[in-house]
Amino acid sequence: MYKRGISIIEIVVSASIITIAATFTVNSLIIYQQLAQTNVEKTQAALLAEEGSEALQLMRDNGWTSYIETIPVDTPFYIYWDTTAYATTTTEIASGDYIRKMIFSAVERDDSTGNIVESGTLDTDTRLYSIEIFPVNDPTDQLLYTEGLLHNVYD
Amino acid sequence: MSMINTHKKGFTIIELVIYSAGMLALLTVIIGLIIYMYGFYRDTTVGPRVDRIGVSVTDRITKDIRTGVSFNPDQSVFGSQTGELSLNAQSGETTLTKYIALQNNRLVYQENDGTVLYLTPADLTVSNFYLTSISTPVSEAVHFSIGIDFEKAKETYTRIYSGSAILRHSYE
Repeated sequence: MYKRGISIIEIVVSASIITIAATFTVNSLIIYQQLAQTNVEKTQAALLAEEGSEALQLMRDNGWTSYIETIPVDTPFYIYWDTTAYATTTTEIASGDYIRKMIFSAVERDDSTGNIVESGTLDTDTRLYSIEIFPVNDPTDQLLYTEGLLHNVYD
Repeated sequence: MSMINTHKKGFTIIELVIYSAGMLALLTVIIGLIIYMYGFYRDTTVGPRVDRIGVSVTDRITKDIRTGVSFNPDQSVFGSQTGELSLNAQSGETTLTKYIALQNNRLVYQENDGTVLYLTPADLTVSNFYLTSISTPVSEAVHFSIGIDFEKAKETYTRIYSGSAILRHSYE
């Protein structure tokens, strides 16, 4: 007795194997793509933070009293490129697909050692700045947080 | 006594035509699927690829500008979509000139009139490289923006990557 053609069981088994393999491949591609995108987002966030830090230095170079002291401490501000120079605003603005939030904090020093301490004498020639980057479409997803010190060297 | 052979051998022309038509239809479907999958893959990956290149070029240019001492104003073009930047730079004890520009829709880099290196691949179109010089009482800096065009789902998009860098040796 000859068996001709393919049985329904064989078709179901082979279709299942093909489906599983295809699902695995597509999922792997999606995961790879997501990882690559996350990596790009983090790098872009790092570049934005670097640009922010550079912009603060330029503002300091233009004049501590006019450009840095006028920004209130403990208040979020945003730096943007205004076609010829950097400007600041307290209104949240996007830099491309990201928000770059910056905050100045006052710096206090120990009178005897000059070290930065939590409670001491106010150093009016130094600001602690923080930069936080997050995507416009998801403000809860903090991509990067960094801090630095800005010194009044030239005024 | 003669024997009549009733066995049919080979295929009839009808069977061959039907088989060929079936194979052709199957091949058409498979090729169409492959082309569609390739288009889908390209559309999915082109954006992140442009991002990777844009971010990497921005980082590279930022680092090059930071090695700068001063601009060469005669060989630099600011305020144009096809900007050119020529810097006197310092690398350790060595002084050199660095040139970054947009040529034939690609960003190029050259050191001391040496070999021209491409910073962006041939299959991507850099549509603008806009430079602004910034001068402060104590330093010099450059703001730059790079526009990269790409096609996705038969539409053209442009992504802008920008950065700023202070010529570190301009403080001296």
